[in-house]
Amino acid sequence: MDKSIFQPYEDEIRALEEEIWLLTEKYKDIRQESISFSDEDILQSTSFQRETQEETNGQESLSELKAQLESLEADLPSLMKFTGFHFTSHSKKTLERTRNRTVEKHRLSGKCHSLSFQLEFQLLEVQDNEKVSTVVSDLSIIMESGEDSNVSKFVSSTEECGDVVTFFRSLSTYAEWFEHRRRTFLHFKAKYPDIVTLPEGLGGDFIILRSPKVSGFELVIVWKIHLNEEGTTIPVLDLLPKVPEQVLENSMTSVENIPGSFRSALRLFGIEVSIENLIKVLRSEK
Amino acid sequence: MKRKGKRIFHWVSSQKFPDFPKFLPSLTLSMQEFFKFLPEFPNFLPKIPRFPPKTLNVLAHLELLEAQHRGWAEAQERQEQLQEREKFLKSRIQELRQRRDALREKVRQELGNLGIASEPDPREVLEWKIQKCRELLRLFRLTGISGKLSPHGISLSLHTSFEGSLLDSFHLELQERGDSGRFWLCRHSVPPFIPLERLARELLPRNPRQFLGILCRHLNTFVGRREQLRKLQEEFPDSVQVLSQNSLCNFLSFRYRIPAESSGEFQEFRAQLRYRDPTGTRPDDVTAVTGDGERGIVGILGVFWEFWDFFENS
Repeated sequence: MDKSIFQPYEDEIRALEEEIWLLTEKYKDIRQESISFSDEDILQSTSFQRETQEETNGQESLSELKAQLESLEADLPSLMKFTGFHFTSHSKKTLERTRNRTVEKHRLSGKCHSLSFQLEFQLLEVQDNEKVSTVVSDLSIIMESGEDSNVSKFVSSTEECGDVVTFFRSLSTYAEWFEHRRRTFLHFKAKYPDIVTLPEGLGGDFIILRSPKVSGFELVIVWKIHLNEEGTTIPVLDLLPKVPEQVLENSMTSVENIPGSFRSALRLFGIEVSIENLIKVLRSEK
Repeated sequence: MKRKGKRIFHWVSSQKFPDFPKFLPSLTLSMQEFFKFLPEFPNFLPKIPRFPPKTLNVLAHLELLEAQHRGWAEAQERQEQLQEREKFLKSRIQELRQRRDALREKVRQELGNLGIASEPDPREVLEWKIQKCRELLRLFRLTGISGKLSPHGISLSLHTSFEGSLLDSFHLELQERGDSGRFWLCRHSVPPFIPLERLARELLPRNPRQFLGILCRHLNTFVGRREQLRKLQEEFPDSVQVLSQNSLCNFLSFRYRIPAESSGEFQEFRAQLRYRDPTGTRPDDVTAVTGDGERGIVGILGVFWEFWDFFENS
């Protein structure tokens, strides 16, 4: 009954406390996001030895902070090693922050094995009692191998539905196949430098095996890595023989059989063994 | 409060009385002494009639006087309390306003001189770096796999999403036994209809990344189907009724009731969806049956595919 006369005061107090909370958060965000300390500053801070008694007034001591930082910095590289993602730079800007809702704009770049990517997106987090819901929107992706048509189709369909998780998962498998192909090409190039040539380099789609004895006789192995719109990676291998005319006249049928037998060898023995066998055949050919 | 024995009168008053001290918590008076002072009171008890001392109701009247005085004292106290509270609230508002203005100034300054750091305070630098690391670890959630080191291995969380919203997370604990570099599965929160043990047996020792990739695909497609089902029920509560679904959500049947354009009555048909491959995003089998058998099934299928496209693309 008497309480009601104080209602406007109490309302104003509540509004002021809310505004103070918002301003404090905004100040923290601005400090965090606009300032960046160099590595030397960080090194200096971690080697800070002296610490007066007044500094530890209920907050964590510097050594505790140092320990926290060390454990976090140990987590990051092992997680990166496990998942294959290395984030090279990240910047974030808080657009809106209230008690229940946060909107942030992120810019993230990194590498997955040897493929680099750059993402920009908006992240909305809404807290509703106990549940926190996270929604990604406004996704924009730039990939290094963007000229590849199926990669760009996948990228644009992912951008449309904002599915960052699918993007990263598919990128992970795609990059692993990419890396596998690169390593395989490298291995064969190093082992048989006279026979193997890579006209498009280690990141290219095909490898040429040149016969040392019969000039003009080449076997082109095409190894394409398809990425379909749903994000599944499908490697496709095929063999194209390039045969000079004289050889063709003599042994037409055997040349025709080579791609078929290569494909069966792939199924039975795997990629490396099949290519190794082909090279051995070329070497021993008369 | 009932009083027994000798009547004791308590007077609490701040008024000035001749010969009376200012505050008198209790006073025992005899009757005659009391009546001596009675004539002085009428200034603040204007309505009390003067009564001859020998009235039989004198005690009752005295009680009435006392009660009124007590009521007056309480009112006075309440008034003081209200005044104190008002003072307190006003000063609090003042203090908060000052704090708020100071913060506003601070924020305005920060926005003005971006990036100009004064002599870096080691605490501030450490806290900044810690926050940066925490944010980066949080970002790993968006890649689908996040986690942290545990004493003997690593504890991972697999995050699922559907069309931009992050949905359920599932947790795994992997331990590294010995120095072999191989991992073993310890605890997990993956539901039983996902073939976790088989995948772990086949893939985890040799190729942990492939294991995680395939497991993620299973979980993501399961959660995606479940979410599509939920959305379908939410969007069309009247037209679609889910007849059956299994836990893995790969065997579903619905009943559709669609108002036919021409006749205004409802067309009912049932559909069954089956996803043979649990990691596929499209069903392998779709069967649609109308209420009256084969008749009109072509038209029905047309409507069905419209529905399908709608919730695939929404």
